[in-house]
Amino acid sequence: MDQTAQRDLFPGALEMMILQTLRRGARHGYALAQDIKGASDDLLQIEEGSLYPALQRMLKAGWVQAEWGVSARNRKVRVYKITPAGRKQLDRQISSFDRMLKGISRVMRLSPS
Amino acid sequence: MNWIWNAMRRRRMNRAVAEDIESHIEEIADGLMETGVPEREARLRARREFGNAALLLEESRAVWGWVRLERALQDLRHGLRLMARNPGFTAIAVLSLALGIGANTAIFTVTDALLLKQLPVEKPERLVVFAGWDDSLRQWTYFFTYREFKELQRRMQSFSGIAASWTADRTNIVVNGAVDEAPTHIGIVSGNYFSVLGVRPAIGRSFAEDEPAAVISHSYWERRFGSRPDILGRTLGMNGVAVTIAGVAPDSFMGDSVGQPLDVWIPITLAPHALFRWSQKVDNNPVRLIARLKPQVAAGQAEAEAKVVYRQIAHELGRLASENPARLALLPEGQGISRPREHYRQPLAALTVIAGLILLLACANAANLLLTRSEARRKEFAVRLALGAGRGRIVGQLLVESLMLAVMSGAAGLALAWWGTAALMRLARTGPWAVELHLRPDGRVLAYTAALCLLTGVLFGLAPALSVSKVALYTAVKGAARTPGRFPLGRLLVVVQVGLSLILLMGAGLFVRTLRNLKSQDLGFDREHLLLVRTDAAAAGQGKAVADVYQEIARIPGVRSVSASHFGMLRPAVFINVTVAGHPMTKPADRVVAVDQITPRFLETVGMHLLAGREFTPRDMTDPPRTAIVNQAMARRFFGTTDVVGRRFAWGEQASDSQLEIVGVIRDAAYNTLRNRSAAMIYMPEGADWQDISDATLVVRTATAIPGIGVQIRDKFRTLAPGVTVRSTDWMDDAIDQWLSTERMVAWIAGLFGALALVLACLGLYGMMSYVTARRTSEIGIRMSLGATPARVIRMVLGYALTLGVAGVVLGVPAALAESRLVTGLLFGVGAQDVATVAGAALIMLAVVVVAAWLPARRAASIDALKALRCE
Repeated sequence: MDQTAQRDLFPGALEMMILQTLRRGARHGYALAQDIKGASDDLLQIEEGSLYPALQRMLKAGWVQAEWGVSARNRKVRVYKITPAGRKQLDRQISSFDRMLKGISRVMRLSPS
Repeated sequence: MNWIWNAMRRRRMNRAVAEDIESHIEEIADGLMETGVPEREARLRARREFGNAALLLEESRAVWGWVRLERALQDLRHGLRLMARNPGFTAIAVLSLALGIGANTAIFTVTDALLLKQLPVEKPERLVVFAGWDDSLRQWTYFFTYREFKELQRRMQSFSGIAASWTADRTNIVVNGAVDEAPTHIGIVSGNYFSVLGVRPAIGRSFAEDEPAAVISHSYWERRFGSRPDILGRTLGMNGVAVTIAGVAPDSFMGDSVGQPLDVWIPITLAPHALFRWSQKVDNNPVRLIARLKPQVAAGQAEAEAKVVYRQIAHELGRLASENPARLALLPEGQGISRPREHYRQPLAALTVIAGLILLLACANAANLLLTRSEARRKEFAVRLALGAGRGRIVGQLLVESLMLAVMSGAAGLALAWWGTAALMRLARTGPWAVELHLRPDGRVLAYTAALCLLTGVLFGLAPALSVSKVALYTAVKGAARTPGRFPLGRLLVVVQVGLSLILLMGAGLFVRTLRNLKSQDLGFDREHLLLVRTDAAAAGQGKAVADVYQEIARIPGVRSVSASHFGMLRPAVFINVTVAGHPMTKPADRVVAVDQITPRFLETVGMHLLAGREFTPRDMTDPPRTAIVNQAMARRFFGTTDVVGRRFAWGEQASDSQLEIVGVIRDAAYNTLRNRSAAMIYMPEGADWQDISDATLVVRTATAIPGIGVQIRDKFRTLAPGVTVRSTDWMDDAIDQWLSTERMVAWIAGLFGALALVLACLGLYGMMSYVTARRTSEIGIRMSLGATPARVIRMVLGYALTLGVAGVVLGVPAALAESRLVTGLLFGVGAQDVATVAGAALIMLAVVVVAAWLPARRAASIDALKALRCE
């Protein structure tokens, strides 16, 4: 059931981006999707709906909280907010992501192209 | 509570995600409309961009783990709907399974209480009992003396405590100022008995070894004192001694002999005063020795010490070598000891097997019914598979359905078990091996039933589930339901059912014939119009009065003669050693014979045949006795001939005191047991002053069955011998029925289940044959259009059924023979390999096969060829 959420991303990438975006401020689902898309200059092809299973997982893990609010277009929406546990998780993910990136780039430099 | 909270949270989450997703999609659409896209198109594009909303919603819900539960609930609902749609199917499956589960549970409840459970005492596994091997009787005995107990207690190091106990029944105990005529079961124990067992009285305290005090059982407190709280300090009148009640035992503890609950415990040192007819010397009092091992001591270690110490003690006390047990051992006492336990061990084992078989049969039956139904549902499954349902999901659903059946059957079975247990106990409460068990539904029994339910559910659910998991999509959707022939699992199940039924039928035949043989055999005496009256004296000095009562009873119109025996007919035998000068018996067991003391005219009264010599006359009633009557078996074993009138033998081991002269020889007769007519037996005359006869079994021969004679006899005792209580008055035929209560219990259950097995096999076969013929409709149609007559079709279908039946019989016969070998010890007058019983069972089975297949065969023969072909 788990592997369905991330289409073209590595496992955990979507969560990391959601947490990173939420760290800058609470948002509702639609705004979250727009921000992630905008931040990647539309390089990342994510399906907006795939946010929701990911958000449920994070709600269950206690990384984010949700409460009812009103969107800019005056719709009743759930606004997601990062929790302290979410922040800690994000730090962990970023550092392991950095290590992975470093490792990959070394391998890419060394291998004959 | 937590569960409800979670369910509520799940519902809330469910709705929140759905709403959230909807507003997200609308926001995308709003955004698009702001850039000038028309509303309709905006909405469509928004949905595309968002992705598969329904699937994502499913995934989001899955995070909270509610999918599995929802599926289970769906399966449950689906299953319930199916059950409601097939009430006949459901009823048959549930009823047969409930009977199987109920029977197993009931038999387990009794087996557990009598054979398996530990005593409700502290650390029962650390208790041992002293046992001596009796070479003559070839069994363990638990008889030691109080003196030996005291010495062992002083010298043994391996135990944290040794306690002594013995039991006796007495009537005429004065309770609340009134004489209690019902027998009271008394435990005669050492002062440390309760502390060694680790049983704390529920009220009050235990007693000291030399205190005129008693502890009463919880049940006795309820029955005799109405559970009154001010029980302590009240007294029981026992043989003229006022015994103060010091405590009430806890509800669970009824003594250490399972099946024979005690009412009152008194200290051993009080017994010579408080019990009528009890050894006056405390040192010689019989005791059973129960000991608790010290924490670090192993049973083997303690046994080694006990052997050494006991040898010393026996030597010092000058106990005769012949009285010493051949071997001393410490046996586990954690389950307590129980005389009825050994009697019931084999019957209960047989009943457990029978109940297990009927449950298996019910499982096979339910599996068969489910299988035929799932075959009929192949198309449904194939469609669902094609639409993307996982095979696991479908198998899971079938298992849920069968578990539902199992749980429903389990609940019904538990109710049946309740009734069955009570019925079993009613049967077990009569006869010489009467047991009284306080049976309550406890965790063990419920766990057993639950395990049975689960096991049966999986057992009968697995077959159809497996067959479905092999459904080939293409052929199934196309209508494979009409492919003829192949139905291997179903055929196998029918064969198994026939085999199982045959085993049960065979068992029923053997046990029913055993009961009939036991009842109808020639007993060697005249059972008609013979009344047995058991009496019990409360005090000494009743001999003269009792002799007077005999005269009075003999005067009742219709009474032909009156006599008595001490131990009584159809009671457990009492054995003694016999020695004949010049005829040494090498095997100790050969020296042992059963004995009873009788009064004049006994043989005439019960109708035993005197082959030579004479009956006892009043002149034979001497102290000690000088004459004896023996049976053929005794005469043959000890003298090698039945011509023994005038020969002498000794009672005991010394041939030199051959004090008994044989004055009569009688034909062998059933005396202590109905199962063995040819046990060696001697009869000695009652003592001179009729003393022992106040506690005896009267035999009264009448011309016809006299109604109300029991009341008349009780009246005579009440007026002429008020110190003697009449315990029971039974016609011999009823006494025989009581003696046969275990055999009747086994025969009834075996017979009932044999019949049930037939019905189940019949139903299984009928269902299977109906299904098979329905599947072969078009084939039969073709055959008929090619000229097959209805008679031929019937023959074909019956032939098919008989093939299965014969296969089942062929498999069943060896299994039945193997099973009946196990119960040989329970049979009487019929061999375990009895050809007639096997052949009869096989024939009945095949007849049932034909009956079950007849209707489907008729239906097949009436197929309209044209119609059959058209439905292809």
